[in-house]
Amino acid sequence: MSDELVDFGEFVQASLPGLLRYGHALTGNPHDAADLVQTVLEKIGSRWTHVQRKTADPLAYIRRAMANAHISRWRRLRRENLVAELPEQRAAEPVDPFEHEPLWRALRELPPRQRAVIVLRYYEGLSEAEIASSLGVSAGTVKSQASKAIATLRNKIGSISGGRDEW
Amino acid sequence: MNHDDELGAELRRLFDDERLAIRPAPEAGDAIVAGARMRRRRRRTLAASGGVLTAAVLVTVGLVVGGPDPVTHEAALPTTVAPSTTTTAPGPVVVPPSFPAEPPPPPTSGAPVPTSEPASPSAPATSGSKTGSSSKVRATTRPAPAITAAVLGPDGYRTLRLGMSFADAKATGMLADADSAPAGCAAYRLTEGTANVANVTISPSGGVVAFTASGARTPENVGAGSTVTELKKAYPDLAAGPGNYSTATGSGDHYTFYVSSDGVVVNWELVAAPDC
Repeated sequence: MSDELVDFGEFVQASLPGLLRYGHALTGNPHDAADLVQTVLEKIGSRWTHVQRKTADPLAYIRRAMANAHISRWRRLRRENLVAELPEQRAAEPVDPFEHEPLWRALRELPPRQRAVIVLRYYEGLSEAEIASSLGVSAGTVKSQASKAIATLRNKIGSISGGRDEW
Repeated sequence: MNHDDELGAELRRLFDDERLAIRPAPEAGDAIVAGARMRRRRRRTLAASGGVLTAAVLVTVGLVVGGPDPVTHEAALPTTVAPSTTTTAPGPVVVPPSFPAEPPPPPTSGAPVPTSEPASPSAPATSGSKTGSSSKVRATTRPAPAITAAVLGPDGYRTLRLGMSFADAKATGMLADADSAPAGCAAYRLTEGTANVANVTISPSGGVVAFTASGARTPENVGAGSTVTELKKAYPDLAAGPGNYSTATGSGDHYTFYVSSDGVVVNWELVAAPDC
């Protein structure tokens, strides 16, 4: 194995728990999280030296790549489901630990783009401008996506908040 | 932006929840490294076998370009993790990795967020000197764009237009399997096949909201296989994000280009207001 991949292996060991957790927030379930993390990391690893030259913070770079992959993957999944008609059945589907959390269930029903905006904002703590740059959309789009998402979440979980929606 | 509203606090609490943790499988790291090695080997094989044949169609010498292996087109290996059932608190903070063997990053990427400025780290190095000295110059295996490629944009494809209602879109006769109106956002294939456009996304409220390109190219002749350099040349106002670039079409819509880590467009979309 080359030195480059030894180094990458160490990086993976250190960052995997955090990335899986982030993927869980992004996708809403452990299976998709594992799938997303593995796919993105393999891609990054095959270019590891190059990626490190390009960015001072590979972890942040990988999280943005995951958000974008999640959004674009969703379109393909929808297409495949349309073709296959049968959604994938997983016999050993584990119980979602958040099954009874209204907010988690509401999040799961958001379109991927809106969910990504929420995760980047409240999980990663990014600003509106940073989210816009991460997702390659305008700040206005981030604002409208976020306010749509917030309105949907409020609506779904009832009024746990009387506060104004400034997003 | 009201940072302190209760819903925001609820979201932060949820994202902080220890149950969000997923325990990696013991061999997960090895599987990922093996996958990375396989991708790299395949790319090199492609570059080696394609180098001679494609030398004639190389547009720019000195670009670092690679094989066509988009992240999201890859079949996933069997899942390598099990959901966590532990009740011990996982470390919520990812340990910052260190890179002893790597050169320090360029000063321009010192910002905590790598995409906060146009000279984003997601943009590949394009200067001949830098990439050249790293001995990573490779020939692309992508053929030059066909002059006859179908054009997608700036506001639609053939008679299908962004913003068109489902009924109007259906009336063009271009949608396959368009028996029922979409209940939520749904992707439709075209009756002509998927060679040019992979699918069209229609939302109940916004009508046609996106086209996902396969072989089609923009009116500026950019498409899958184009390099970031070509993108920037075609669209000087290109906005960079990690893994993608976006530009306005001029009519309020956008082209979003998903780019591999080595700077080649792997697929792209024509998107109206992102309803979906």
